[in-house]
Amino acid sequence: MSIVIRASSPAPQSTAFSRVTRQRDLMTHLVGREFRLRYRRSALGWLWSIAQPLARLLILSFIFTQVIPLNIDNYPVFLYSGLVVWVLFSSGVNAAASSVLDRSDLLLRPGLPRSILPVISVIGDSVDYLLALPVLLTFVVVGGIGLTPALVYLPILLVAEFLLVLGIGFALSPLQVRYRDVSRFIDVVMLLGFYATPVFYDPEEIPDGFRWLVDWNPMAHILRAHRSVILDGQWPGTPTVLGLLALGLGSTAAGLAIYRRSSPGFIDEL
Amino acid sequence: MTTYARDPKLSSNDLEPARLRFDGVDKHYRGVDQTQRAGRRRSGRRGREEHWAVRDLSFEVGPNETLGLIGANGAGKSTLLRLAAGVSHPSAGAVTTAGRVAGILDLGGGFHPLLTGRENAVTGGILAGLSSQEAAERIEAILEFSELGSSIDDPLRTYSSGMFVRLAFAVAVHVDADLLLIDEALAVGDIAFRAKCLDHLAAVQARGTSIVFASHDSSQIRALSNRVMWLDGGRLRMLGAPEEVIGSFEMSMYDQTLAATPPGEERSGRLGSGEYEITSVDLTTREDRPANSIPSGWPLNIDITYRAHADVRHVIFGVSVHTERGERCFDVSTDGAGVAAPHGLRTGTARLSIERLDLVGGRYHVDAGIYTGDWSHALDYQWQARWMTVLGPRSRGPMAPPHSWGLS
Repeated sequence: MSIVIRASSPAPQSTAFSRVTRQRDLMTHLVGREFRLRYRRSALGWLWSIAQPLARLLILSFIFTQVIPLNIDNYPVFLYSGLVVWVLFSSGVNAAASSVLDRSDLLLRPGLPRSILPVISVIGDSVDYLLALPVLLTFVVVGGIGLTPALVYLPILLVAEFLLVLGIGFALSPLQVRYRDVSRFIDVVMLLGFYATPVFYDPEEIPDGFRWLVDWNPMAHILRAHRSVILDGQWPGTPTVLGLLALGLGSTAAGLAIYRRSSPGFIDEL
Repeated sequence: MTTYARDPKLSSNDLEPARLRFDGVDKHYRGVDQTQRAGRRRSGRRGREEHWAVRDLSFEVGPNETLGLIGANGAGKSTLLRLAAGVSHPSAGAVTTAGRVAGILDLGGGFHPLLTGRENAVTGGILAGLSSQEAAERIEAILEFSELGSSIDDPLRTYSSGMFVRLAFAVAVHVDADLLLIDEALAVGDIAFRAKCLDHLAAVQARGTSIVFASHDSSQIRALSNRVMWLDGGRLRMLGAPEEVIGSFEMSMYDQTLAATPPGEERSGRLGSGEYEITSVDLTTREDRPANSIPSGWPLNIDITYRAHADVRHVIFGVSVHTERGERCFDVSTDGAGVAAPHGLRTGTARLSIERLDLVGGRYHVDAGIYTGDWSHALDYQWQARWMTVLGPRSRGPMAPPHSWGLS
């Protein structure tokens, strides 16, 4: 059993305060770098992050209002809120899981706190979510629901989802370093998940025999909480919110533990 | 020369802890990757191949100390530096560092090819411990030191290895590191920039920074180190005063070469185990004219024509030029330049092109050698393979670079 004792990488004179500023500087810079890389030589830049959910919105709302009407009130708002939340989850998990491979150049530098890579990646996807919010709110206003005070609860739900995605990303990224199959696997799971999560249909319509699909699906709960805030203007209920936050924290803690265990070997396996 | 204020608490004193400390450090790599291993395990689980890169290393590097690393290729120098940088973790034992660590570990590593030199420099500075404000303030000094000019705003994938080293080096010496790690980077780049780097490293040392660096060039090791470590097969073979360790190392290489030399040949100025044979060494200058005498500042080509009697997988070609009194003017190799020599050829020619031979007038001799890929011994080495006369004014040092004076 190897025991590794390392002094903290920042300079020894660093106080708790300067360590916080250092982490903040590092974070801000790396997130900015992430965006420069993502939108390099792209004329429309971040606008593309809205294009994806909008395209899905267009096609799905055509199908489920015109071709196979589902008769859900405010369907575009219902659908778009589901899409935004789902896209953060699916692309967030995907990007976080490959963050170590994608940014392996950074791992070759002394002074990089390793656990920062998935965090940077999930922050990047959360920024996409935030960019999609104004569009969502436009739908809310145009759809006649109006802006309710309950919308101030959205950040709490974002935090819960952020932590859930981060935890899964932490757990999967070491695995992806070892087995490149992981990203294919995630694609398949996300494809199934998109249909197993009530993104475009009403969860109430699910037959009793299949209710476990929604009951045991954390994304279904996050989605329901979002919709209760956006569509009904209601606090999703303290037990639900605390449950989601606990789930997020638990997932991050477990993921980080897995990540910490495997990260010493990254460089040797890249 | 740029200097920055340092934290007074970091000034050197005897009570200060070591900047770098290895305690019984082992590092081994698995010989096969994980997916293959899984397959192997199914097929009856043979013993896992393990490769020991470093074994049972313990040493300390204190403040103000510069440790030079020597040893054959694969002796563990790069592994040691990666462990010190914390990018690789020990399999057993502990590595402890104190303070801010910066380094040039892998050429091409640590920078992103799609981002510009400037963007990469800022990232490098911040990762090494600068605040974003400090990084912004120092970027001009970094750019100036790197002498990259407008190329700084080109993506890194367009850079040559020389440009890359300029950038990496400029960043590494401008972050006020407490511990600076350099792996062979000083062997790349043109002579002028290398000289500038060596100068700057002296200034970095004067600021109290500890340096650990690996180099094949023993003159660089001599010039910079307080102590030298000789690594052999991942183990510490010798650690001590530079002259002593370098002397023993070179002696051992000479002994190995001598042991492999067929009897009766050592008196002709030739050494080597003989798998490769240098059939001729030719010196030419402009328009392929022979360069038995050559004006100072003219180009010089040195052609080593050889015959391979046996297939040696990796070979290194080396050339050194010496004054009549035996002073070494320069010493280069395909290994130092990162050039892989082809193998398996029956005959061939290795050409070293020197753009300008900026030596003062006098007589010089050229030594040529072909070595095994791990530098363990020479396959063929010819001492004083050729003599040449450089035409030009004589002076005290061996160098005669183009120069001018400006008086005001």
